[in-house]
Amino acid sequence: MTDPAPPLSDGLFRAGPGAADDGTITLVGGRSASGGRLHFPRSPVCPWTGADDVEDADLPRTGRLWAWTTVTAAPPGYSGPVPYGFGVVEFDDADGVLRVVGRLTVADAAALRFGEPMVVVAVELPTERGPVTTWAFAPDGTDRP
Amino acid sequence: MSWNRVAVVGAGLIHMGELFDQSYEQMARGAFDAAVDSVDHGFDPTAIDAVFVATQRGTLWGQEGIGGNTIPSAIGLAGVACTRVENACPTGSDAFRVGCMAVASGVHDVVLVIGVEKMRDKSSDEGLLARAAAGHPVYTRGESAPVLFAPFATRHMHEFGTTREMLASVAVKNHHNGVLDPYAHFRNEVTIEQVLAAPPVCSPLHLLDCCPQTDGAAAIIITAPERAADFTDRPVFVAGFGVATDHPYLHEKSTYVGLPATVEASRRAYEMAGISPADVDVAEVHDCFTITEILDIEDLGFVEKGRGGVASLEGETVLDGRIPVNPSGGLLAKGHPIGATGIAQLTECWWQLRGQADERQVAIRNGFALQHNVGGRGSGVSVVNILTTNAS
Repeated sequence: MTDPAPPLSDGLFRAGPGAADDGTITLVGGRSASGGRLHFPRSPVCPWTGADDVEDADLPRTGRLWAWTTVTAAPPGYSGPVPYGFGVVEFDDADGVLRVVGRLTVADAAALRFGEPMVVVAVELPTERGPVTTWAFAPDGTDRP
Repeated sequence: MSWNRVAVVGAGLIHMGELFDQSYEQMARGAFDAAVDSVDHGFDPTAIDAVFVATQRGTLWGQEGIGGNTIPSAIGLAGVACTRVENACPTGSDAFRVGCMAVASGVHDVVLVIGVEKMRDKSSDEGLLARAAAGHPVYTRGESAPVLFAPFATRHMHEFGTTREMLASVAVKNHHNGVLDPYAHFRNEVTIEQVLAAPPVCSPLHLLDCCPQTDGAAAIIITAPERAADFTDRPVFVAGFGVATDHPYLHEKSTYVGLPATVEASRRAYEMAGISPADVDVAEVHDCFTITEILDIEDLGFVEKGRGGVASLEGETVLDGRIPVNPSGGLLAKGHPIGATGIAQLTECWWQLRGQADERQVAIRNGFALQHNVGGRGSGVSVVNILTTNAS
């Protein structure tokens, strides 16, 4: 068994060894005790209120697809597969909706639907410094025939 | 709100394009000479007592170390007060706003605002990599501007039934206007079919939905209204301006079918000018992508929210339409040399209000022209300036 790829960046998510194989990943955002509203990625100050009493807060695993694109002209510095999906997923939170951007496992814009349930999964992505583990959104299929 | 008005007495730009044969300073000199030559009664440049330089990518795009302070020497004014202004894609329009405040305050008498940007000397790869390395550790990694705007197009199409043909009609119009603009980077017509069939970049945006990377420079000369008669019998006045910010990152946006910074910046500018959107005769707006112009004309109040695509397809924004938008060809055809863009747009507004826009001239009924930029990771800041022929 090969060593698991290191995370894209520290502090964004928790993913165990071999996460890309079993897909288990938890996005870690922040919540300001005074402001109350969830944000991601975790910031030293709450982006909604500017308060600095931010603590770690796990994001839900399932959200809804809000907007997306299929990228056919990859930007420089990107060494993953092309085309690739990129989109925005909404997560329900007690204090409103949180949107998170990320890769989509589906690289065909026509195959996705507004409001489709999406689950956070771990994926391995090639980069110039070797493969890394990061998150992506996949249709969870629960609303599909 | 009462404030001391400002008069525009000269403006000019250089032919936009890939200007590998001109240095940053040479481009500035060309724009400066054009602005000086445009002053009706002639102009002695030593009258300028402050310069504001608009350059956005000073540290990423091969303009390292330029704080704006190489410009005074390049235009023969070494020693003059000079300050560089940077505010994302509205860099040029905000430098103009700052220059206006310097005149309106009475601190400076005659001010030059000059925008200069080198976009092509470094390859797109180098530039984008430098930008990614300098920004957010996640959200700027592999980011490109079309990827930021594509989700807005996706949502606008979903919520309002906007089509790719409607997006394409913006590119068709602006390319047509560009043919009529001797300063435009691209001077060729395109058809709806060509825009639809262009290589895809990121759905639903294809190549001709995107503005090019362009080198360029533009300059504008402003002074107090009571001083304007020294320079021209036909001054154009600054009626108002506004700047507003928004959460910069895509995931923090409250809406994907509009840009709140544009709404608020224009509201402030309209209030300062004492006018409503219906009073505007012509607008130069930020069409970095076709979808952006559709968002702009809604957010600026020219058409109802959601009707931007239909209005574009039906010709409401063409030169002889109800509200002509981007007669210069816009960013899509004239180009987007970032620091110069806003000042080039203001120069077009100045020409239009003075009836000097030749084949692109639109009907001026109320005497108001609006100029707009939005940018910064998509739409973190917007600036709107309103010019007028009305003296009070």
